[in-house]
Amino acid sequence: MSATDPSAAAPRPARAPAVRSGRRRGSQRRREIAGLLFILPAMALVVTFFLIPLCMTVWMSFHNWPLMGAPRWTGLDNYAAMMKDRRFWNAMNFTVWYSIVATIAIFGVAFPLALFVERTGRATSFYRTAIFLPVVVGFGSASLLWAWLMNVDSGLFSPAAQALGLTERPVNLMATTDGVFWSIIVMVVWKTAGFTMILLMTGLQSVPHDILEAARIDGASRFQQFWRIKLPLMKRTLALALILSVAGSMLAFDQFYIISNGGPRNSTLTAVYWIFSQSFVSFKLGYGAALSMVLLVILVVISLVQLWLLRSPTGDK
Amino acid sequence: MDNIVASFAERRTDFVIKLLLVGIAVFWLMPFVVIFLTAIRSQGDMIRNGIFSWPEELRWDNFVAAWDTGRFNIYFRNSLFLILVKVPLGLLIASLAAYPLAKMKFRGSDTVFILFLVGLAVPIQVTLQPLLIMMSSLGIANTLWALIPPYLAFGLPFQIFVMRGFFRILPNELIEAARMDGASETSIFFRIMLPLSLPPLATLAIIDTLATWNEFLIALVLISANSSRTVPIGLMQFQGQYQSQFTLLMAGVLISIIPVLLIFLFLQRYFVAGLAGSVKG
Repeated sequence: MSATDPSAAAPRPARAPAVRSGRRRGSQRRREIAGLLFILPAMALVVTFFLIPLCMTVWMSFHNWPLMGAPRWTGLDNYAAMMKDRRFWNAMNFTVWYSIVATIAIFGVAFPLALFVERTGRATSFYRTAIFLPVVVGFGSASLLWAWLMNVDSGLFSPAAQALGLTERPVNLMATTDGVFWSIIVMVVWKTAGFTMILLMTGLQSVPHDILEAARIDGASRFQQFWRIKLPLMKRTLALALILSVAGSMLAFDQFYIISNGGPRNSTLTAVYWIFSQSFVSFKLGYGAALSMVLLVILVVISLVQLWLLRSPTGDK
Repeated sequence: MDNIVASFAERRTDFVIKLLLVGIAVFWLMPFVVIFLTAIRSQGDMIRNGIFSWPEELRWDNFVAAWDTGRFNIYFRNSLFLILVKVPLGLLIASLAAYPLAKMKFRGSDTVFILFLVGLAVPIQVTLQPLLIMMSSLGIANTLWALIPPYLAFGLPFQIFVMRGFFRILPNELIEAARMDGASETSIFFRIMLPLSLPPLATLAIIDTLATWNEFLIALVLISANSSRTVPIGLMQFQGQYQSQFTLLMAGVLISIIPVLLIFLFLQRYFVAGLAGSVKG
């Protein structure tokens, strides 16, 4: 998924002898047409259901656009209204905060795990499977499960904390912003750390063995091998894992919609949640489109910043 | 002497690491254990004894009750239909596009590829409003047909990217030789390229099946009729009705995740290795 690939097409073999060039040119032409025809279905789908909707989002954002009835051009009104939309900016703040905490938590768990499960063996393959298992469970099912684990009377966390003597009386995690927030962080780590772990493990394994061997002979400690050799050599994987994790958290919706409904008192509304409720609950589609555009711009900027931060000093690797 | 101390310290670290790993694995698997223990007992039993006890009486009929009252047959049928249409179709279209992008150089091919790369960067969450408008004006909002085009369009960029990467490492000589023998591009694609790319296709098919089964937001926006609900949306609906019936609810959740768990456990060899390979490329 690295967006910067310098050699977009494989170099073609040397041209055929001149004798048959006429026939060759004809077949080359036919080949190009075949190639275009092959690309056509994908192009048509992506243009119709991705590019056109994307342009429509821009167009809609300049309108008052109800679900029924005619849309009305309002120019920049939606954007002006957004500036004063406290709830949107609160949601945006919350989403950024959530993304930072979730990403740190996911990497904090996934990176050590990747180092441990990098080695081969029966036991490590069991750990890999166990930790990857929640990745395949959908956010919908996982959220319903978590909502129940958070239940104050019969769930898991509150009774367990009481049994262990950590708290004296039942704690209703749903009642406070912190309770909801940290419970969802734990869930997201549980659900996605396995994926990040596998990505990072791939990066670690791609570090050439002879380099590590040479370092070991020169007396580099385990920590030095990791910090000075493995880490710099896996920058691309690291960038990919980071971007996927941040982008995923910036678009968080399912878990907050299902577990907390944005509550308590709208304190866990995310950006996508607010866009969703403006667009499909209040049916202010034009306003929702304007919010979407802002979110898209923010996402692109964040991705670019991450790519820039993790760029290789030598240029290509 | 130093050596012995060092190796002792190292062995102790290894032991601590192993212990930690066991702890983490237990924590990771615990929700599955809890969900299972809850789904197979009665509500009263669970409230009396807590979730970590063995059920007084096994209630396998919870699954039947959840399946029937939750109308999971409708949701399963819908999700399976989506997967059976979307996954093969998407992979075919993606491979078709990836072949010329990998093995032919012609005017505009770079532009096309960049368009697909942009598709990778833009999330579907920012085009929900136009999609709803489009599907309603096409008259297919609220049907499963409304989900197939956006699922296809937003899956294609990643699949094309992976397949192009794979096709590029296949030797050009294969194609040149077939062309010498007079094979058409179509037969080169279907008789040489596709059969050789079964490993990445298998990986992509698994990823796509899981993603389609689990997709939530688009289905939530485009589908409101009960008869067109997919499994995650149906499960939400079920939860709304049985908020406090945790045993039934967990039986429902388990029903919704058993298919993906089975797919993963049986096919993880293709899945994890391929996942790693496809992001490495």
